[in-house]
Amino acid sequence: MVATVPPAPPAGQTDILSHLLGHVRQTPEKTFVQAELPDSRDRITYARAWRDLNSYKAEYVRQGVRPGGVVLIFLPQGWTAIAHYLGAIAHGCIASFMPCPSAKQDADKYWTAHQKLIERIEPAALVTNDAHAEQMRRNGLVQGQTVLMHARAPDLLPDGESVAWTPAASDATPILQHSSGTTGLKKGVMLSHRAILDQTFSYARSIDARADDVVVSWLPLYHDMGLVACLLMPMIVGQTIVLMDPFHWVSRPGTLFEAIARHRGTLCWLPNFAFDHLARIVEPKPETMSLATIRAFVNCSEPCHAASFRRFAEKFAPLGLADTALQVCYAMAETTYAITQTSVAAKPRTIHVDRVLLHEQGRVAPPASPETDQELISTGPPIAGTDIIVLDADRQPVADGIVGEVNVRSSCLFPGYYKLPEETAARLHGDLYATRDRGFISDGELFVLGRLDDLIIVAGRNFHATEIETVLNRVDGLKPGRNVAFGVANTERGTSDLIVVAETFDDAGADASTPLHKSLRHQVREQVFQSLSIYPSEVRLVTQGWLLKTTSGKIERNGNAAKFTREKLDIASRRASA
Amino acid sequence: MTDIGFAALQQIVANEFDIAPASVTRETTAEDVDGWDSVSHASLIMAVEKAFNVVFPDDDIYTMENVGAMHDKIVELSR
Repeated sequence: MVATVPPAPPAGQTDILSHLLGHVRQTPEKTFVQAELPDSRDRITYARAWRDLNSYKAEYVRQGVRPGGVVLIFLPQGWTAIAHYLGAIAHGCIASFMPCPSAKQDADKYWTAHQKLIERIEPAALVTNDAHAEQMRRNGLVQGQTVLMHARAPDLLPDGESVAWTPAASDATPILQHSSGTTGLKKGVMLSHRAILDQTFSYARSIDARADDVVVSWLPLYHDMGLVACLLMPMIVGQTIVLMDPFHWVSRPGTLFEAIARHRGTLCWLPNFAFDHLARIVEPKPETMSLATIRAFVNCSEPCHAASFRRFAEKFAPLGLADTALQVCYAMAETTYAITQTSVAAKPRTIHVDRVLLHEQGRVAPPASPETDQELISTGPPIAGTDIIVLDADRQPVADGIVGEVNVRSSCLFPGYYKLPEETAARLHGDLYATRDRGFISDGELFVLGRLDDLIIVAGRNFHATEIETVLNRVDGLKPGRNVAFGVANTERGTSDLIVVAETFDDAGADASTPLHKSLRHQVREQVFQSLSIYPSEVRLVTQGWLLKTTSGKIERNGNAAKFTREKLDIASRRASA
Repeated sequence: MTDIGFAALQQIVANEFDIAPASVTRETTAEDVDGWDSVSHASLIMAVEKAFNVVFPDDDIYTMENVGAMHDKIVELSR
């Protein structure tokens, strides 16, 4: 029998933890989280989850963490991080998962970069492990009333006081979802219990979610797709989560299919690049891998490509992948998560349009010739309670089939960015959220084309070009203000490549074989990585005058991207004919 | 028998990132090579494991400092 999810929250359960408590009472021994981590195979039942959550809540009380404040959790993916997160919510705090520095990042630089963010947020607590705690203290992150908490395994804590339970008000804010990018500029999306619950029950209907679903995820919990689709929603509807580690998954991608086989996984969310990464690296091994139980692999967080789906479906059909299993979602943290979702009962719709008319005139028409044919994949209709309005540059609605900015009205909309009123006003126009994405509606479904601003999406992570350029301005040997960052689609990898072009002092940019040139390129890659945890795919150093400027003297991003691409194509064709 | 000479590794790295084999030295790091990120690193690891018939311990995958350290690890795992 299918364990369906009700269309709306049961009466009286107006905060997210009341739903967890409901499952604790009804199915205490059911698995809530099954760890599939390099150092843990722990199984956490719903009953254990409640006990641990209350233990941490008691710990927050003991350490004097003030309710209502923000608790930033810097812990590796795992149950200890989740239990601290839920415990903070139970204590009445606003919880937020934060990324930890990677092994290759300079820890002191990493924590120093958090100072502005910490000063703005004034967190009630920072939760981390012993090694990071010392680094955070050394770099001045523990100020004022902020409590620095050393994370402890739940079994080291006394039993929590799990009897008394007071549900939070539905409009209270239990979580902050931080954007990616330069640490000091991270924006915390505030989300209420009501928005999270509205999102969960609307989205559950759109993907036909069931209480007996098993969600398998390696997605980081600090990412909205990992947090909402793969932790909060399963918790609220009573599903089981199989939790994997993102770093381990990238290097051993086949472990995802092995975990799905072992735990009979039914739902899995992935950014587009992951479909290509899996198709390129993993060899199907039916003896240890099976995809027969999967009802949906949902492609989200960066532009979805039909070609990526085709490569994935072709490679993994021998593992029992269903025809209708590859689906698409359009989502963002500001709407809690999903805005649209394709139907899990059919393959997503694809259309063929004229590329020239689409990009030059902003309208949809059949391709005039095979050369101008562009295939687009639908992201589906809006989920219940959400409306999409496509607006032109004067903020007037456009007809179906006309390209404009995607705006969203939704019961799941955020009320603003935490302590950032100007950034909030720039994006929230009354009850409409301006996404800065370009797209159009066709037959009730949304097609997303790209960005109106300088956002570059690489492997599901968002970076503003201006943030990268700020880093470049600090590299000795490069001319400040004479650089540009942009994304270039990489169809083979199923994502965008991050490209930086920078003019150098003297003639260092002229000859790529010189030690100075090599050293500068090394510095650029290293400094971008230390600041943003991403290596540029290509660093092009050029001599003064290479970069195109607008008439007002600004660096022309699109023009320079086009010039870079043209030069690459010229070089490739010269190589081919040599 | 598998050739575990440095030249064989040089060739694999060069193929992976479309660069000249001679430009790959023992000191080469991810910072030196365009396109070398965590995703392409995984692809490189798979290619190296297949070519040398070794399996890197998970803890070593992201901590090998340069191509030379990767070669040393291959030699150690091949013993």
